[in-house]
Amino acid sequence: MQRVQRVAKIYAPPTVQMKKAYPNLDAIFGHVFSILIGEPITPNKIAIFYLVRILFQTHFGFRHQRTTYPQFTVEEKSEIFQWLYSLITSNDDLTYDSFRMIIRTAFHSNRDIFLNFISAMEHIGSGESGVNFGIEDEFYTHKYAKDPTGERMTDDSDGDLKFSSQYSFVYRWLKRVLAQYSKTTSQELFEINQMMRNWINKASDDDVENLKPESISTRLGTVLPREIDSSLRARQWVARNIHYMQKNPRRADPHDHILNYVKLIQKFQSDVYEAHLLESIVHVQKKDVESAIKAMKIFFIDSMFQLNENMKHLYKTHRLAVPSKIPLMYAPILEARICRWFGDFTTARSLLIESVQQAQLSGDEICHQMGNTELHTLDIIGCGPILEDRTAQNLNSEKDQISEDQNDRRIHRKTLKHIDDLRGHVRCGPCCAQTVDDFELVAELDSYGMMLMLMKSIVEGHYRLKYSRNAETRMACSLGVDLQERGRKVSDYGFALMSSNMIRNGLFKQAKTTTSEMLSGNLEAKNKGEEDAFHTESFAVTSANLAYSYAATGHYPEALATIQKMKTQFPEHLTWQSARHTTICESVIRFEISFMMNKFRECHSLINPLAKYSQLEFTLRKALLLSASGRDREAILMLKNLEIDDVHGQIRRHLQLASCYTAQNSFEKAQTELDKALELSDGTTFKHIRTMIGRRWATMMMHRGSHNLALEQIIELPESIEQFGSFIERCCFYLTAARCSRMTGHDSRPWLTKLRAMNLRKVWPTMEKMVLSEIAALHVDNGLMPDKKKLGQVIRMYEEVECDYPGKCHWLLI
Amino acid sequence: MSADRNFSTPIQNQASLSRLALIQQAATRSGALPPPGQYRNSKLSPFDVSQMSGVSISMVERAKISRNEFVDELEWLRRETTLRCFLDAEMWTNEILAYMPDKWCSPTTLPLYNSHSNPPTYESSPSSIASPPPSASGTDGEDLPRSKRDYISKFAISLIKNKDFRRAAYFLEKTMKKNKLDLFLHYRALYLAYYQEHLENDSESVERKTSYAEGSSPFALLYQRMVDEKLRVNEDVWFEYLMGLLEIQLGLKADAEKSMRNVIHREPRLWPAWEALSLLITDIEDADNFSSNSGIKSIWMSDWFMVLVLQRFHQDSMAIQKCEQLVTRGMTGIPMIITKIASCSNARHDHDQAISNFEDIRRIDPYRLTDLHLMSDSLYIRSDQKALAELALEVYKTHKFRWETCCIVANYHALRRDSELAIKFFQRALRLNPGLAALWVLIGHEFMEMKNNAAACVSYRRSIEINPADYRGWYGLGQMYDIMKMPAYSLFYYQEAQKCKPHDSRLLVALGDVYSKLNKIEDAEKCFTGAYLFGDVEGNALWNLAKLHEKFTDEQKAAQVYEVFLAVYENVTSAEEKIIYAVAFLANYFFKVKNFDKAADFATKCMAHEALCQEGNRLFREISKIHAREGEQPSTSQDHGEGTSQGPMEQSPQEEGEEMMSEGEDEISF
Repeated sequence: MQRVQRVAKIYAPPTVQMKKAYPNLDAIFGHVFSILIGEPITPNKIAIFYLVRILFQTHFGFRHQRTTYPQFTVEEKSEIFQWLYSLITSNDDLTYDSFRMIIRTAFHSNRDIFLNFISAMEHIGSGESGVNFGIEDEFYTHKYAKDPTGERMTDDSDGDLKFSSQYSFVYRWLKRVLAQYSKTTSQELFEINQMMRNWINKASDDDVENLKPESISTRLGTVLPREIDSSLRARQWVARNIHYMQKNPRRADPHDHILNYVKLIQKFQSDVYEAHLLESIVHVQKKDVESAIKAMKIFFIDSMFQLNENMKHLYKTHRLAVPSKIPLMYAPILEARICRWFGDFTTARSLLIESVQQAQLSGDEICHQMGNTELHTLDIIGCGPILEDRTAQNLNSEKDQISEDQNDRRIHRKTLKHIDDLRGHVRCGPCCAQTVDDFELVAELDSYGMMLMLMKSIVEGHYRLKYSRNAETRMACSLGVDLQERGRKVSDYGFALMSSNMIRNGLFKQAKTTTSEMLSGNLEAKNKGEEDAFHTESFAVTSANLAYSYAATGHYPEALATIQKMKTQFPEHLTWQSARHTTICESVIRFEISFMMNKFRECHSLINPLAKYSQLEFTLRKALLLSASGRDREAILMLKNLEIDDVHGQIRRHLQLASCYTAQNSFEKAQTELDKALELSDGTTFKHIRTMIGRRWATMMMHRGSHNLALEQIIELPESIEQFGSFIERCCFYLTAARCSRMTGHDSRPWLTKLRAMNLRKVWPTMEKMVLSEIAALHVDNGLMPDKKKLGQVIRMYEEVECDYPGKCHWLLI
Repeated sequence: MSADRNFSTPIQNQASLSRLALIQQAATRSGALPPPGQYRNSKLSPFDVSQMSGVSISMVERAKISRNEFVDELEWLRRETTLRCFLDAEMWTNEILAYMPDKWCSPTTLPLYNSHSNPPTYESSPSSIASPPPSASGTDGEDLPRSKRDYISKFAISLIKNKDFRRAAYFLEKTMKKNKLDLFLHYRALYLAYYQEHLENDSESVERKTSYAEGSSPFALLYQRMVDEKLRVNEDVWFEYLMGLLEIQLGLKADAEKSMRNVIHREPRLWPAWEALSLLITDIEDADNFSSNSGIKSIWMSDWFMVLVLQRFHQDSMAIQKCEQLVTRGMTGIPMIITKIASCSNARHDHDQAISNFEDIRRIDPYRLTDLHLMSDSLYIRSDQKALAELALEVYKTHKFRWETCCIVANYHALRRDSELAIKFFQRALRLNPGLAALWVLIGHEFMEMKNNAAACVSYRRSIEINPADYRGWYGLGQMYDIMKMPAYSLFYYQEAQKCKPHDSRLLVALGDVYSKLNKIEDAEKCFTGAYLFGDVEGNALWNLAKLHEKFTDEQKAAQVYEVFLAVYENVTSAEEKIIYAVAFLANYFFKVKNFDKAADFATKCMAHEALCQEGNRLFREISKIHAREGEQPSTSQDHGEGTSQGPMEQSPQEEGEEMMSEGEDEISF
């Protein structure tokens, strides 16, 4: 009985599966993923296909008949594949004549390959047979070809080159051509035959013009440029340009060229969505916000209809595409980033909050973290200078009320120190279920989050310059293989940040070493195909820091040379984000140079570009200029009206005010300002601030006539001024020290020697004159060391400098 | 409502409250407020419409249409279109003639085949147009005999009518040298052949966009041939019209527009040129200038042309007025005009009017399907399942594979909440008419019903791709993101939608709503005000504006707006809940600001609503208490001096009121 039941079960009709009819999205939206364009079929490719087939038949046999020719050896196969590879990868289509010559050269009398090929071609040319893309099943179904008797025909030794290996270039190319051929319409079949006949027969004409492939219609439909004439190549082209736009914009195609191609891709290859993203990136570089946002929105809408990656589902339903809500969450993040770049913080914030909310609803941890990181970036950096605390300003610029809880998001999700740490990482909910690169992303976002924290502590003045394993790991962001160079970008970012912090703390020599090392490791490609150097914003910042460190150590020509190099590496029209740093750096350094040369008019025009990037830097310099021109009251007013939240900026303002008051001989007020600066600096970890305050105090005391008090202070400073003082700072210090020593009857020559060693004549001639005056004061008859000869020499030297650079050093109190 | 209404919350600060002043003025000016159950602006004067839309076109009342001229024009067009195988235009003409008012068809006055129009000799023999005098032998030397030529020509015409265009062109090639009509028909047949092939190729490669070779367009070759033969300046104006059609196919829109204008100047009776121009023209006022100032005789055709243009640019109210003018001038009972009024009514969400007009059409011509999908749309919105089912059944029985039918059936399924089937039919409609952006919007809506946001999003995007000037795609996207609580992301789409139709109050209200969610009060205020001034189709602009002010604690402004709201919607039954809220708000507000007279007025109004009776009573009690206290005030102030007189005033009436509030009275709180 049981047996009967079992038999009945076996022969029973299969159970009907009741499925709810769901709209076929593929059909509704025009079969986006099956209309993708494969290898455009050209006569050249048909000929290559015929050649491959003849080679195959020569090796294995024709249909059920085993070949009479000896099989190819591995060496012969290797040679054949080389020929095929070069034919396939040729950018231009050959004429039939050229093709024939190549085949003759390659296979002349080898197993009648040439004759069989010519025969097949001439059959098509004469119209006796049409183009036929039929191939033996053996070609791609079996791993090892077998003859009709079932005997294996090829050896399976490891060294063999297999025609049907799914990893081989030729095999993949064949699949692409065949896939395209299978989609050919009846009309196109006729056209292909006609095209092929024309291609073969034109070769016999004497007219040279007719021999060119362009003179024959060799493509079906609209002829697109080769780079984008198939979906695969178009996607590659887009990916390459997106890569270079971010990494090295000079290597990407010109913007107009990209926009033209992108339009073509959007029109003809609707499955290559990334084209919209590329368009958006180009618009961002062209500062066309509206178009950038539009393109970005289209990209995200189109990518909501994705290729099904679930093979089981695909097999069941035969539907290639599935709708996806994921882009919905991510779309606002990138749009917010565009808004942030162009200063629309309110919109950016609203968008990011929406994105975070969506991520929370869907339990997408990565999107959540990304949104949070971006929100903090908005708060901490905005679109202004990196290490200037503008958080309050960024938040105040919001007209709407932002509640505290909105602003208190955790971004420090989990500490990832090493790639192995992922093993213990527990996901909450379906985190990044559809992304393959989740580790990279999580590690990258963790690093960025950490760096934002670092940046925040740096701008607040709490960051301690000491080794921290945690910070080190985050900045290095080791991602193992690092296919998309993400880890590299993060570590560059970290290094740039750290070098900026060094400059900010007066560690100029260290900054110079760090930045030089980083830049020297960023090698330009010498040959085609080599990976090119990074020309990202991180490198712009690093280069700028190198220039600053040169300037701070008195190497102005090197600083200017670095700026010049930056200008070629980061041109404004290709990457305005990086070019900003060049502009700022150039303004600051050129201002310094002109200021030391007493070229105040030039200084005014030099600081103007600074105004749009940093009000603080602009105002400090403007006030300095005004004060140097004798407009102290105006300068003081300007400084007092400046709204600063940045603690470093506030200290600098107090120092500047103290200098102005000293120049006015308002020593009490100067003292108050210096006290305030000292008070502020107590709460910070800035290394150089106390030295700067001390030096200014000493200079003020010297002006006040309290040389002994000044000297007491000076004695405490030399070590720290050597370590943290910039070139100008050191000059001012040594001069103050020399004068105070002289006035108190001490030997000032050690200070003056140090000053002379700094080779001031070309860099700061007015300071040189002051030094010479100081020496002269030492050697005059009533001086400490009267020496007429030396006095005469000094006077001569003074005259020389005066001749070259007339004017006095008005400003010793910088 | 009287026109001299005075609002009790006068605008104090004109500069800051100018928008509110504008609203009050508008409400006052409108004077004749709508009858109960109907919103404002359902019937507007041409001036009002023009004021609202910002478009100024001539709305001059013209004299009655002259019957003779009317018949003459259409007769000429009928003859010409029949001879030249313009089947669509022929049908259009014949339909109008068939529906011509009866009085114009009286046998005594109808001069169809008598003195007025000479029956053309070439009607029976097309070859005789401008053909040379027949030779004595009846043959042209080495050419075909004349009678044979006639037969060939007639055969070619039959071929064209049977859509065998290539063959027709081949036969016409034999006779075209001797016959100008055949020459035209030859080109016409070629044009149609290329057009047909283009469509067939397109359908074959519907899934492969690149297979269409743009470089070697046969249209371009035909156009070049016509240019070489200088056919534009041919005395036969139809050649230039054909060249215009070719220019449209080649994408030379500016040239095509120029050609069509020229054709109309040369022959104003040539309706197909008007029709083509209505799709090419880029500016309403330009169209109006062209139709009214260029000395064109055929006035009714130019008016109808303006209707098409106005509808294309979403100026539906004006289009209806133009249609009504045509009706008053004598063109009564023409289905074409009634359908247009119905479709414009549908577009401006006057669905009752639309349904009634479509029903009229179906009564006189039950198998006329043109624009009938809009009737199903209106029925869907009115949720009239019975009528929609009847309509769907009838059309599905007779015209299964018309896209209008598919749309109607899809709407029927949509109303039954069977979204899958609805989408299937919309998809079928799209196959039959791929250029209709609205279908993608409807598919998007169905996906939204199915909670498939991603697919909805892609559908809306397709709609935008087909027609970026159609606001519905943009609006759909905006709405989708809005539903998903992403107002900042939806803002862009609402803005784009509003750009497409700047004077649509619904779009302005939606935009205002988003601004309000994003705390952009000023912008939201602008939008709601604009929505009210532009007609406020759905009647919630004022309500939203008042709520906006209330939300941002600007009670004075809120009160002002609520007052206007009450003035406008007091008699609208569907807005009762809002009215109750507004009355309660105003009563409490005036009580709070110590305007006890007004508070008493609104408390009286409260008594008219059952839900507010208790609130009204409470306020009356509070007011009487305060009046009583004020009566005692002088004596107490004398007793306690001035300093103590502030005591009771410090306690807010609201608080006191709350203390006294009995149970069950705290249902409405502010």
